[in-house]
Amino acid sequence: MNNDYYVGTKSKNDINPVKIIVVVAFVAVIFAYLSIKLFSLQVLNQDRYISLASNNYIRYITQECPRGTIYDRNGIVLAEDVPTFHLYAIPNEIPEISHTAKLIEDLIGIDQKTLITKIEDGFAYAEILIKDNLSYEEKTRVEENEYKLKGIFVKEGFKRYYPNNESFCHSLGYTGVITNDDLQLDEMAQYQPNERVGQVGLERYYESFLHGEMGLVKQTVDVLGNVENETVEKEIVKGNNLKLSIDIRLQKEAEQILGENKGCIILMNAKNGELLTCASNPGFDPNFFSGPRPLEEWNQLIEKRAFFNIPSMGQYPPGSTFKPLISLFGLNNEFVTPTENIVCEGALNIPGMEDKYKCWVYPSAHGPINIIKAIKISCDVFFYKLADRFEVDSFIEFLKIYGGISLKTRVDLVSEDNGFLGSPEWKMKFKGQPWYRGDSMNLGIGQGYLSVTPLQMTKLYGKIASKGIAIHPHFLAATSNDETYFSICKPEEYEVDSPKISSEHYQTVLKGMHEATLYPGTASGLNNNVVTIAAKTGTAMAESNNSTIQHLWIISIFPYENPEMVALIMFENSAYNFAGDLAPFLKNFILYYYKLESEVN
Amino acid sequence: MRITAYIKRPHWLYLFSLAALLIFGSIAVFSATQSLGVENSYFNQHILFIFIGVIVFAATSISSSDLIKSLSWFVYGIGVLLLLVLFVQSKMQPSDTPLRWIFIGKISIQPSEFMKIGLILSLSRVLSESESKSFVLFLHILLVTIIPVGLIILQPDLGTAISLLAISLILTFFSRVGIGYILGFIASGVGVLISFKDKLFHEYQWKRITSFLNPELDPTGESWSIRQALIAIGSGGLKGKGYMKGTQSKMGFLPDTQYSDFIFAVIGEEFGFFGCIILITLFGSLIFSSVHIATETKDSFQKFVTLGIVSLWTIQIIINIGMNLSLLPVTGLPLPFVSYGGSALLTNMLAAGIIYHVHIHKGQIHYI
Repeated sequence: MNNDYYVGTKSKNDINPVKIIVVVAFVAVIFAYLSIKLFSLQVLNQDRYISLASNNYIRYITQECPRGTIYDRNGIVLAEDVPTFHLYAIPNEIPEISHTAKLIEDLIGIDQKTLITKIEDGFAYAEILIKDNLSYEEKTRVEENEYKLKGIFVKEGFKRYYPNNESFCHSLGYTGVITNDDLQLDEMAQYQPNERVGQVGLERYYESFLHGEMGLVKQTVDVLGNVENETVEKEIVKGNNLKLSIDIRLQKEAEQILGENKGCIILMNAKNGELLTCASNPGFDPNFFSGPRPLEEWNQLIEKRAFFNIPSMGQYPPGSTFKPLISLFGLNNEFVTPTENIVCEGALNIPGMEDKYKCWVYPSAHGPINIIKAIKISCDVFFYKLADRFEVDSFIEFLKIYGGISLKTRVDLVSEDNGFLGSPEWKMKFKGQPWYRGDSMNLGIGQGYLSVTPLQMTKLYGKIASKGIAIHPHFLAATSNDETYFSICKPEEYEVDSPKISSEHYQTVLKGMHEATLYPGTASGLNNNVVTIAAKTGTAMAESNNSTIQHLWIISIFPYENPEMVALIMFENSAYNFAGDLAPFLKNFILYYYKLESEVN
Repeated sequence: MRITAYIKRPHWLYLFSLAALLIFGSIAVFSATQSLGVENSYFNQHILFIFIGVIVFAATSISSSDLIKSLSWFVYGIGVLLLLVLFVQSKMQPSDTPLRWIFIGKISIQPSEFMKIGLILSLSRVLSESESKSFVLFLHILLVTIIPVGLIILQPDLGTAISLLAISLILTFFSRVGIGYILGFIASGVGVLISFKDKLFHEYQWKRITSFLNPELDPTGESWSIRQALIAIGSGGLKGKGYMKGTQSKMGFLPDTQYSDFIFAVIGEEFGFFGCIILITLFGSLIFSSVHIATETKDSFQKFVTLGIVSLWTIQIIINIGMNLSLLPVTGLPLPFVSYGGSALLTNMLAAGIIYHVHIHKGQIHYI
């Protein structure tokens, strides 16, 4: 068939076979190059690409662990975790950070520049907390726009809830997202950057007990962040519960008694050091830290010094509440006997000192009185004269070693101050002056180179109440692990060198303090028919901004015959004239304590 | 009938390479389209097109000896006409994405694919039949080339335009036109491209070129997909992650076109280095057997057509694999016989049929 044949072309247009060979060889070289490139990628560098691929689709999600609950001594909740929602970002999954940040600013009002910095500083594959404790509206708004917010997600978590609000706020403390400084600490080395930790107070002190362990979930995700599969790598471990010695009813009563007055009320069991009340005013609502924390409110709190825990951080001269301690030193070292009368002339009759060293009744005078009466009526001249008899070094040593003055009480709070106690060495070094007689005499009435915290005084009175046994004030009653309570709190035995004082001297001092609660004692406002009390008032003078202010104290031990409790009330920079004016407040508080006690029985 | 003798003496290597590539492609397309949904119409369509493609291949290869040659200019003309229709359509309905398809009812046609065959056939006729001097012949070739290439650049479809231009230059290289013309053309072409880049390129095209040259500039955009393809291939390792077990392809990290432009990444991830080498070897044997067919025929037109088609495939293979390996910019060229895509598959099967037609008809040459 003719059309099976067709006309061939002229040889003029034939292809030179060498050209074909050249092109084929060129292609062969390219193919060989592609194969070598593949070998390099898939064989030599496969590990790198395998890890890059798994970074793409494997995501580790931490799951917040609930913190342990904090209870008072009767099992009433003081702090607990409640569910909430937090907003997180995974930097690596955000397609365009500026765009996403803009949208988030529109939705929940976080400054986009801050947000961009936060995201860019984060690890590519790790979650970054953008905002904790979203409000319901914020959560809804974010979730409605979820499809526009790739790499941003809302996750269930917990927030701390303090059902009693301001009550017991200072000692309880609060929690917050771990700071960079905390992350450097050894005990927090295993924490994730977004974890909540106790920031201050008991929340901080018992952080490791309360914390629990974060869970870890390994997720397989597609490019849109859809979870295809998840496995639990680490189970969530709930934090241990704490049971405190605090009785929240007493605490609230104390706070009510404090009212608008700046100051504190402390109630401690003098037999075991358990603190039943530790109230400080002004305070704050720790729930503030689980919310949006408006700056204005924060500034107000700072302004009124709301975070200042007066019992452990306030430092004041103890004033006349120091006299029982002076008495014990005097009696124990036989500088005075229980029956010796020392004359109060209204002011000291040592030449050149008359003006400076007046009794509080001046121009009146107490006349010749013994130590019991001197405590009862808080005679200053008596104690000036007594302190004048002391040998300085052993006196100061006693205040420190027996009295715990200028030493921390080691209460289970993270913020505690030492107070202050001067000495001849200190005075020479910092003032360039020798220790004068007057300096010791000033210490005799709890003034001068001396400041104490209310907790130090509580501890000291606990020691007096228990006749020399060192009492360690503390909040913890027990921790729980699976509901089994066990005690972790052991009194510190660091006062082994403390001098022994004979029981009769304690009797003498306590008798004087008891007398003080009977007319015309300085604390006679405490007199009642429910319980016998031994107490000492103190009206301490202090300089503040070139004017003299007074801090008022009453510290009581009760029952007088068989001391069990120490109760302290202190008003800072008070408008009341005299510490005895505080006696009705303390009486009410003590009576409330007995009212609760009688309800149990 | 002497033709039957040649049908009975098949070119086994050519047929085997072609069949193996089609099977390999189907397997890969099935895996690459799994994550797209339960109702996998892509795979069924792919199989359907292979089926139609095999018919096209058979029909073309046994068609009468001068039919293809005589239809050359007709095919070229239809191709240009379709490109013009597309051009008019795109002017009437401007859109951000390039228009590359003509829809006739349910059928969509990609004119640029059709144009490839038309250009190869018509160039082969010019090169095998021309009596003119080299310079005139070169101008003739340029004219035939520039019309479709220009229309394709206007779409814009840079990858196809470059591959058409390359085929044209390669065929010119095989012809008696001196190599100086080719080098001169390339040099002036590059000069024009750079000096008129703002007018010639869409912004996204220029971005592709620059992002390829400088991947750090654009971590989430274009080069993100290049990077994800590279990660997929690299993480496949020696033996691959196993069929259907690729995390990059199954979890959506590869670009949406993982069943077409990035099918090589899917293969690299799931079949590893071994799979890639098998694929490259199959392409190599297809090219080798085609060139073998070209050298066996005495007819210049047949030689030019065969070599033109082989060049087209080779360019597409190199550009596609090079793109998957981050060696070349993203151009949107599929992998011949392997990638999903009806128009490309039918065009390539038609082209494969033309080569086999040459094999069948190579002895039937009659010199005047």
